Amino acid sequence: MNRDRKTETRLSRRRFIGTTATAAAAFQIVPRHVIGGPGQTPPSEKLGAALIGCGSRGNGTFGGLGKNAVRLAECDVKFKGKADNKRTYTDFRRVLERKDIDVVAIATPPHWHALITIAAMQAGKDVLCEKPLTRFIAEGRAVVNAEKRYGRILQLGTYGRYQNIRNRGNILTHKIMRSGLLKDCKGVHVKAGGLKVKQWSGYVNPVPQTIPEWLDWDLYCGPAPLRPFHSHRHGGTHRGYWDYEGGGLADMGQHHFDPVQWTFGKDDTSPVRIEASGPPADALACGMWGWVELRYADGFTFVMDSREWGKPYDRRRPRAVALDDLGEADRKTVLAIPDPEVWPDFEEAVKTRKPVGRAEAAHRSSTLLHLANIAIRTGRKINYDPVAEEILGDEEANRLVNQPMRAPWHI
Amino acid sequence: MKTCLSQNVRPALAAAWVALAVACVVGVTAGTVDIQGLKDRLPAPDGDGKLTGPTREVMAEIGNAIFAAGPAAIGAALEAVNVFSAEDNDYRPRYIVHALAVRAAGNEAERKPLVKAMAAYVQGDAPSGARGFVLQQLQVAGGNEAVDAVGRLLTDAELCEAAAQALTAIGTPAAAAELLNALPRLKGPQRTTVVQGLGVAGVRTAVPALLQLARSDDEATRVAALEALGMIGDAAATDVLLDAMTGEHGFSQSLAGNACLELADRLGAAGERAAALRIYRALLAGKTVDGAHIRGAALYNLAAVLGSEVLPDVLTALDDDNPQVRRMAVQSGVAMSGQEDTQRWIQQAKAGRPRVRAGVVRILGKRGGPATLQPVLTALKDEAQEVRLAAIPAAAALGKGAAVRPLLHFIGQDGQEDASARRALLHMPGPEVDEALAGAVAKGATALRVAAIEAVAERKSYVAQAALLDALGTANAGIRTASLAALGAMGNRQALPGVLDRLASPGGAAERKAAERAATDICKREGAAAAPGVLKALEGAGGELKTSLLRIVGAAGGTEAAAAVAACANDGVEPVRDAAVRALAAWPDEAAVNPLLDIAASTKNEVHHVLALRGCLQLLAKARRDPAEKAALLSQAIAAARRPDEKKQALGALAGVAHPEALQPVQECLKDAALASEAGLALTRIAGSIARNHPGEARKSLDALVAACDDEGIKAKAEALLRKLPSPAAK
Repeated sequence: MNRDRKTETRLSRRRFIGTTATAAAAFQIVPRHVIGGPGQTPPSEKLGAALIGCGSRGNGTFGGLGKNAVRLAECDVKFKGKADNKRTYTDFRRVLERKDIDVVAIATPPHWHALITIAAMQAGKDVLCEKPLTRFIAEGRAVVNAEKRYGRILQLGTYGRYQNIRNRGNILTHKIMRSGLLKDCKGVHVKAGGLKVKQWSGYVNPVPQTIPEWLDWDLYCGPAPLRPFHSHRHGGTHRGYWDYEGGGLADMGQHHFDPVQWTFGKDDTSPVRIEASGPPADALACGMWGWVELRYADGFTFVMDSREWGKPYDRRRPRAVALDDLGEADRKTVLAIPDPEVWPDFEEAVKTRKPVGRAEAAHRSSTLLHLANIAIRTGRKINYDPVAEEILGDEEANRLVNQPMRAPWHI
Repeated sequence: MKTCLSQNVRPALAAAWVALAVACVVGVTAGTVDIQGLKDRLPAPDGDGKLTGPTREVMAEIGNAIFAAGPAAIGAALEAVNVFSAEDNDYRPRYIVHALAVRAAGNEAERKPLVKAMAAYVQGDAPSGARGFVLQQLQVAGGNEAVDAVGRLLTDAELCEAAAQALTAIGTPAAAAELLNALPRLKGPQRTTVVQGLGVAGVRTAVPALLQLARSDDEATRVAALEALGMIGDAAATDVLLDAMTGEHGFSQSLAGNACLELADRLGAAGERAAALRIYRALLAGKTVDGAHIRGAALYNLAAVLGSEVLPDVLTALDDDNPQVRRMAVQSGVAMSGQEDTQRWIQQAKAGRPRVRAGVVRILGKRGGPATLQPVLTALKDEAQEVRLAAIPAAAALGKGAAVRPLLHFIGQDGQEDASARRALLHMPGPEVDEALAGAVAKGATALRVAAIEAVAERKSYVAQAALLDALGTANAGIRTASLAALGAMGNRQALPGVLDRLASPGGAAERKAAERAATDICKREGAAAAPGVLKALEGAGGELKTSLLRIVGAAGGTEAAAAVAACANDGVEPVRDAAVRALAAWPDEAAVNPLLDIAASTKNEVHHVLALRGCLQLLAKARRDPAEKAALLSQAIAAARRPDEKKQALGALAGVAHPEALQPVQECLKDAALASEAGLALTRIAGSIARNHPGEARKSLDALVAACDDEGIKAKAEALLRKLPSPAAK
C-alpha cells in the first residue's frame, strides 16, 4: 500500500490541479463583507476571529481556524472582574455583536456548544466547535437547521475524519456502504477501551464549595441547572456530569466514531436499536458502564466496549465490510464509483463557502453518543426513529432526546 | 373477556408474588421499609469519590422492596433525600429516588404512586435543594398527576426554574396551562422562565399575553417574549416581530431576526402563506435587517413557501450585490422542484446580465436532469468568463461523457478556467466519463490529448490503459511522454511490455528515462509479480538496455529476479556488473541477502563491496527471520566486512538479535581492540534480551565480558545485568 502511494506522487492530484491553484484560490476568496457582516467592503484574506472558551483546549481549537484567523477577542466565564469588553469578555453575546468578527472557535464545555454555535450563526458567523457538538440529540437538529437557514460553515473539532477520508481501505468501505448494494450488512465495528469511563466520571458526593471570585458561575452553568459550585464541575472534569457532557463516552466517543461513521457511510442516519450494559446511572454524575451496542437499519453495528466495567462485550465479533460481501456485478459497480471529494479545511470552506452540510454529520455522530448514554441511563432497550429523531414507545426516554434548559437559554 | 382478564391479571399477580418474596427477604412489611438498610446495600464511593456499582440486580431488589411496601415506603425514600451540604450530602437516597423514577417510567402501577408521592413532597417543607432534586425527577417520570403541585412552585423564586422545566418535560396541555396561569403573577427572571416555557411548549393561548410582554421595557422579558412568539407561530405576532428588527440591537436583534424567520417558517408550514410571505419579503428587502445572512435565509425560506412562483424573486436576488445573497438565490432555485421549473430555468439561461446567467447555470448544474446538459454545455462557450466559470463545475456535476471534451478545451487556457476544469475532470462521476476520457486520449489535438492523459492518470481510469499504450506508438513525443507518466502513475503489469518497448525508443534519452521511471513505478506497485515480464525482456538484452532493465527489475524484487540479477553481477561488462550490484543493494525484499553477502565477501571492487555489505545489513535489519538464522547471516557479514566501521555496523545489527547464537560472533570481536567497545555494548544488549529465557548463556557471556573488558562503563553495565540474573545456586 505504501509503495503504491509513493509511486503515485509523480503525477499527483496536487500536480494535476495545482498548476493554476493560486489563481483559483485568489478567485475563490470572498470579500470580508460576505463572510461577516455589512460595512466591510475591502476584500481580505484575514478573518476576524474570536475564541470562546479559553481553557486548555482553547488555543488548539483556535488553531483550527487557519493561519489567516486574527484573534480579536477572547471570552471565558473565568475572566469575571478582568474583562474589558474590548479584547476580553465573559459574555459571548457581546462578542457575537461585533461586526469585525467573522469566525468563532468554541472550546467551552459541551453544554454550551450548540447554543453558542447557533447564536453565532444567527449573528452571521462561521463556527469551528469542539467536540462533542451537543449535549443532547435535539440540540444537534437545531444546529443543522441553523446551518441550513443561515448558510454558515460549521466544522467540528475532530480531525480523525480528515485522515480517514484519505485512506484507501476506508474509501472502499465507504463506497460499498454508500452504494446501497449491501442488503444485509454483517459489519460490526467495535471500539474496545479508550473511552475513559472512570477518568471522566463525576463525584457522587461533592460537598459544595465557595465560588471563586474570578468565575461567573451562573453564566458557566448557563442552560444547565444552577447547582452548588464544586471545582470538579469546572475545568475539564466537567465531563463527569450529565449537566455539562456525558462522561468519557461523549468526550472520547466523537473522536472515535465521527471518522468511522463516515467510513461506514452513516453520516445521514442513526442507529435504530440500542442496548447497553451497566449499573443504574446516578442522576447527576456520569458513572460506569460496560458496553453499548448500536445497530443500524441495514444491520451494521457499532459497539462501544468500555472494558472498565463488567464482562467485555461478547455478543458479536468485529467484522469488516468487504467487496466479497457483494456479487461480482455489484463489485464492479462499486469499483467504478469515483472517490468522494475530500472536505476542505475550515479556512478553505469559509473562503469557498462549501460544503454546507457538515453539521448533519457532526449531529449524527453526536447522536450515537447520546443514544448510547440514553440506553445507559434508562437501562432499557431503545428503539430509535432516525428520521423523526425520536425514541419509539418510551416517552420518558424521549425526554432525554430534548431536554429543557434554564431560561433564557433554549434551542 | 374472561380470557383477556386472566391474561392481564396473571402477570400482575406473578409480579406481586415476586415483590412479596423479595420484600420478605429484605425485611419489608407493607407500609414500612428500612430505608437505612436499603441504603446500606449501596457501595460507598471509591477512593476517587466515584461510583463503581451497584449491580442492576441489587437496585431491582431495592426498587421491588420500596414499591411492594407501598406509598409510605416511597414517601420514606423521598424523605431521605438530602440537601447538598457538607453536613448532609449522602448520594445514596438521591440515587435510589432517581432509580425509582427511571424504573417507574412506562410502568403505571409504579409510576402513579411514585409521582403522587413526589408531588406531595415538593409541596412540603423539605429544604429547597432536596425539593429541587425531586422536581428534576418529575422531569423523568412526571405526568398530569403532578402538574398542579408543580405549577404552584412557579411562584417560588428558588424552585421556579426546576418547576418550569418539569412542566416542559411533561409537555401535556395541562402542564402548559399551569405555565400560562402563573404568568400574570410573575416578574423578573421567573417571568422570563415561564415565557420561555410557553414558547417551547407552543402555547397558542399565550399569544395575547406575550404580545404585551414583547413591548415590555425589560429587555430580558421582551426578548424572551419575542422568541416565544416566534416559536408559537401565530400570525398575530408578525408586526411585533418585524418592528423588533428595528427596535432591538446587537445580540437581541439577532434573536429577533431568528424569531421572525421561525414565525414565518411555522406560518408557511401551517398553510398561512400570505402571512409567511409578508415576513420573508420584509426581511429580504433588508430595510430593517442588519446582515446578509438573514436576507439570504429569508429568500431560501421564501422559495420553500412559494415553490415555482419564487422564480422572479430568485432572479432579482441573483443580481444582488452581495455574493452571499446570490449564493442563497442559487440554493433557492435548486430547491424549486419539478421538471417544468427546470424548463423555466433553461429559458432564463440566455437572459440577463452575466452575473444572473452565471447564477442560472449554477442552478441548472445543481438541479441536474437530461434537459440541463445542453444549456450548460452552451454556457461553456459564453462570451462572459463569469458564465463560463459557472458552467465548468455545472458540467462536471451533470457528469456526462459529453462534457468531457468541452472541459478538456479549458486545460492550458486562462488560469481560473484551467484550474476549474482540472478540478472538474478529476471529480466527475461515472464510467461513461472514463470512457470519454479514453476516447480523448486516442485522438484529438495534442493539448487535449495530453490533458486527457493527465486526467485519466489522476482518476485511475484503468479502462484507458489500452488507449495510453496505443498512444506510446504515436509520433508525438509530448503525448508519448505524458502517456508514460500516466502509466507510471496507474498502470499495472499488463502495461509493462509496452512501456519496456520504449526503453529502446529512438525518441531520445529523455523518453527512455521516462519509460524507465514508468516501468520502475509499475514494478514498485506490483512487486515480484511484475518481475517475469522484465526478466523476459532481459534475456538477450545488452548495453544500456540491459542496465536499465536491471534497475527496473530491482524495483520489483523477488527470488527469481534476485538470482538473475546476481548472475549479472559477474557479467563481463563493467556497467552491467555495476547496475546489477546497485540493484541488489537496493533490493526491496530479503531475496537479495545471500547474493549480497557473496558479493561483499568476494568482489575486488571496493565500491561494490561497500554497496553490497550496506545493502545486506539494511535488509537484515528489517528482515523477519528466525533469530538464529539472522545471527548466522550477520556473523557472515562481520566476516565479510573489511573495515572496522563496517564491522561496527554489523555489530549494531547483531545487538538487536535476541538469541544466544548472536553472542559468539560478538565475543570474537571483543578481542579486536578497534571493536571492543561496540562489541561490549552489543554483548550487554544481547545478554539483557536473552536473560529471561537463556540465563546461563547470558551469565557466561557477561562474566567473560567483565573479565576481559577495560571500559569501566561497559563493565558496570555488565555487572548490573549480572546482579539481576538469578544466581546459579538458586537454580
